[in-house]
Amino acid sequence: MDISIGIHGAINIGRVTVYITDTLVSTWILMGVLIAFAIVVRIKIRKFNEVPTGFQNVVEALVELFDNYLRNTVGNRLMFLGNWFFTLFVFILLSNIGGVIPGFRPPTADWSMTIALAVVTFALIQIIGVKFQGMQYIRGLFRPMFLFFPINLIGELARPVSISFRLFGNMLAGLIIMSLIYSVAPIFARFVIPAALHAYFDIFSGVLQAYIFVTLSMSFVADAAKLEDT
Amino acid sequence: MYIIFHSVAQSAPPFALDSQTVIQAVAGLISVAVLAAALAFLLYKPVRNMLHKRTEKIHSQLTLAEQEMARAMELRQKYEQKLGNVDREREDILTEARKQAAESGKRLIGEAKTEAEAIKDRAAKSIEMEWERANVEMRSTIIEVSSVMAEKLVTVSVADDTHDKLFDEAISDLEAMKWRD
Repeated sequence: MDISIGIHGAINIGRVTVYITDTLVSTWILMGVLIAFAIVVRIKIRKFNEVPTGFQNVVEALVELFDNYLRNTVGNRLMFLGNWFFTLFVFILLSNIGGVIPGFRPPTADWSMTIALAVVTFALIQIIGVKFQGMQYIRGLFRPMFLFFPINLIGELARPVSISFRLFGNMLAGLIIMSLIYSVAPIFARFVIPAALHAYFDIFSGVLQAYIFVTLSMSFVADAAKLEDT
Repeated sequence: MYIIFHSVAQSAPPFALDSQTVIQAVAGLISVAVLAAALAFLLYKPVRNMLHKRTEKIHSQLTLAEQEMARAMELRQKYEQKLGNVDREREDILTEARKQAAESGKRLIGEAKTEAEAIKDRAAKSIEMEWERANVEMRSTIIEVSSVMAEKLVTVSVADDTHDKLFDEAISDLEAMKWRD
């Protein structure tokens, strides 16, 4: 059983060496798939009808459902963040579900990817907090008194770290269990038992974890904006 | 600054707290940021704009339909009210027509009476004139007949001198009678 991340090469940019890992390769594959899909939509959008059918229906449902979900979670004032959360959701969802494809390593099963996504959420929380609450937000870090600043800071940092570990842990756990199953299951059983487990770990858990990650990110950001008019 | 690609045959743990994790996180972040930009430009914003425009259009059409509906309801109410007043209007029109007919009848009867009176007057005058003319003619005829008879009688019984005397008297009488008339 090997759950380590394969390294296919390295790029030296000055003194920094960037490994081309399975995670990066999977990320680029997903990027390619999603950008190709987006290009198709962009081309076909000119021919979209008033009454949607087929492919148009799928695209509109995707965007509209997500928009409604975003509006219900963060309210109208943060709708400008829609594109980031949409990308986040689609990327994590496809990453997780991609686990069913043999040889595809979900980027979310690598902590460097989940913490990167969580860091963006952390940055958004701070930016939106300052933008909507001003100095009140900064003062909130020193409440109820100055000595509580380290604790509040840890609390702030804990949020992105916790959501990154939740996603990473779930996906890695699924990957480990599936690797164990594949390593112990006899050859004739490798097409039946793993299929059901893939459905649970990659599809059910994958969709659920994508939803949880994005919903928590949205909630944290909405909380920073102190939006009560949602 | 230089970029060199070289193959490395090794593997890394899924979780580590080292510089490569940070580098990998930055690389992943850049990749996702590029993806977000591409999706925003190619998919999310265009579709969202299209949906927004369509929603606006539907809203405006609904508003228009509501206005049209309100106008139609108002017209319907107006016509229903008019229909309700039709009986009363019919009665008014009939009453007015009867009144006008009665006035016309009265006027025509009056005119006919006047005309009849004029015709009657004209007939009476004509009768009177005819009566006078007949009187004159009858008198002339009587005179002529009397003269003829008198002439016959005188011729038989009166001498010539008497005859002449009587003739003169008769002539004088006739002339006097004529002057009187």
